[in-house]
Amino acid sequence: MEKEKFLRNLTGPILFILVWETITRLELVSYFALPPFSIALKTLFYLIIKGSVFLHIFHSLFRAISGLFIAIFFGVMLGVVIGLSKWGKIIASPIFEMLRPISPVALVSVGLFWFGLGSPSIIFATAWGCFFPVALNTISGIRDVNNIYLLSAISMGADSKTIFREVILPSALPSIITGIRISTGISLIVIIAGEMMFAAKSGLGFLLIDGYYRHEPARVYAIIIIIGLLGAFFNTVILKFQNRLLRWRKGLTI
Amino acid sequence: MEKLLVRNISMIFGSSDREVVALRNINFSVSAHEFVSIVGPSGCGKSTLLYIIGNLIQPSEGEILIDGIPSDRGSISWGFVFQEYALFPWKTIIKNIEFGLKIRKRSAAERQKIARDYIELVGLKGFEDRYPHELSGGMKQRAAIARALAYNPDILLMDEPFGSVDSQTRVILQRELLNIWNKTKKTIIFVTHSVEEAIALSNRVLILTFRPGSIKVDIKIDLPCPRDLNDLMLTQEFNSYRHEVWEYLREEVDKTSI
Repeated sequence: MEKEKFLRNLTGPILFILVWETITRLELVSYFALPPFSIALKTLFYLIIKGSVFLHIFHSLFRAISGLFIAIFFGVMLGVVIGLSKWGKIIASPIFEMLRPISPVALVSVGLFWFGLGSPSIIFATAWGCFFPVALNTISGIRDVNNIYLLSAISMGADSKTIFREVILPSALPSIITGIRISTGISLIVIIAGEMMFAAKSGLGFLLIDGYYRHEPARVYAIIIIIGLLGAFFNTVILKFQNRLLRWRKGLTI
Repeated sequence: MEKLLVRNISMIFGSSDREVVALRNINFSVSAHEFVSIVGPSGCGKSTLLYIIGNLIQPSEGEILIDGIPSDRGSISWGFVFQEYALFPWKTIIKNIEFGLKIRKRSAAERQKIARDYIELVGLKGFEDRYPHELSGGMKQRAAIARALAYNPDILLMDEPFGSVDSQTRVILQRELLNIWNKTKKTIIFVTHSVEEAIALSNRVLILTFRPGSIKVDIKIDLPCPRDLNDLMLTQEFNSYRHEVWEYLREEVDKTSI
């Protein structure tokens, strides 16, 4: 049953690849716009066998995860403080509204001024972009705790420290995780863009733009496939993490 | 001596230009092991009164004395059962029931032992490690009762606890509540809008007036204990109590429709 379902789900992707291969082999589009899937795949194997691509993957992953962790750390901390205090939100909200619309990719240039060429400028921009979803979701998670849970904890004699640890935090957790999930997507976007701006001479984004300048579309598409797989990997990890932490919600429709 | 004394409680909501007097001058006392029901038309402030007794709302005037001592949040000697279960969805049933004991810094082994006893008392054996959303409404309310009892408070405050379960489950839960009351000898204050439920369960029924809520009558229910609810409802005495309580209540319910 499971296997059957898995095979059925493969129909779409296989069809997609077949169309890709057919129109390129029939030369309906130019090789530079879209090389055949098989050639992109061959280049991908070549890159893997050569091995140097792994260092670039490592650099990109390191930047994405560092940025993400910095964002989660500050986002949750500030989100909790702001969410719990009345004045916190009054002061922080307008500042957030002002800063949030700034594209994090634009912040790479600011990072370059502050940190010079290299990973820190990209990590800075990634952390910036990931901070807002985490912070804003933490704030709303903390503020939306159902009053009945607070009342029932108070009715049993819980002090404010216990209420925070045992009621407010677990109740806000689904919302915090949603923020983190949004941020993982953002982190990949920002690092690729930053690397493409030559902020660092390594990483998947660097390989992409390098492949463009060398007129090697097959290499560009091979890297894009790697980026896609990386995104899927991030998504799987976060879903596993979410299911583990939110076991109590399984089957609940929210 | 009284277990609980409600003295001169008044509650005013809103600002000075648009005041709503929810409760006016409520005075009554409850003896130890007594089962007192509070009934009244919707919006009479019966739940508000219970929240005030449970120190969840500060009254505008008056005070609550437990064993002659003004009650405060520091010395909690009551368990509260809410209408909408209020179990923590992120904790398993046993962890929910252990919560009050955890607050009281009891050891993990002791907490578990006590929680298991109460799980057995409310008939939830086998559901210890389930999460609340996996349980039916009736089972959730049993768990909520066990949670309120587990840290052994003297007084149980119940706010329409069976209001959101179906009528068959309701009858079973009523019978079990009486069993629990007989076994644990708690003092129970029970808010309900059902006249039958109030008479069937209680030693005394307090009827509140419609806005502002004040005590209209305090009726002693002189029916034998322990009670068999099914038989009880057929007796002449039960029906005359029902008639009496309804007569008082109707005057107040009529006011709500104006």
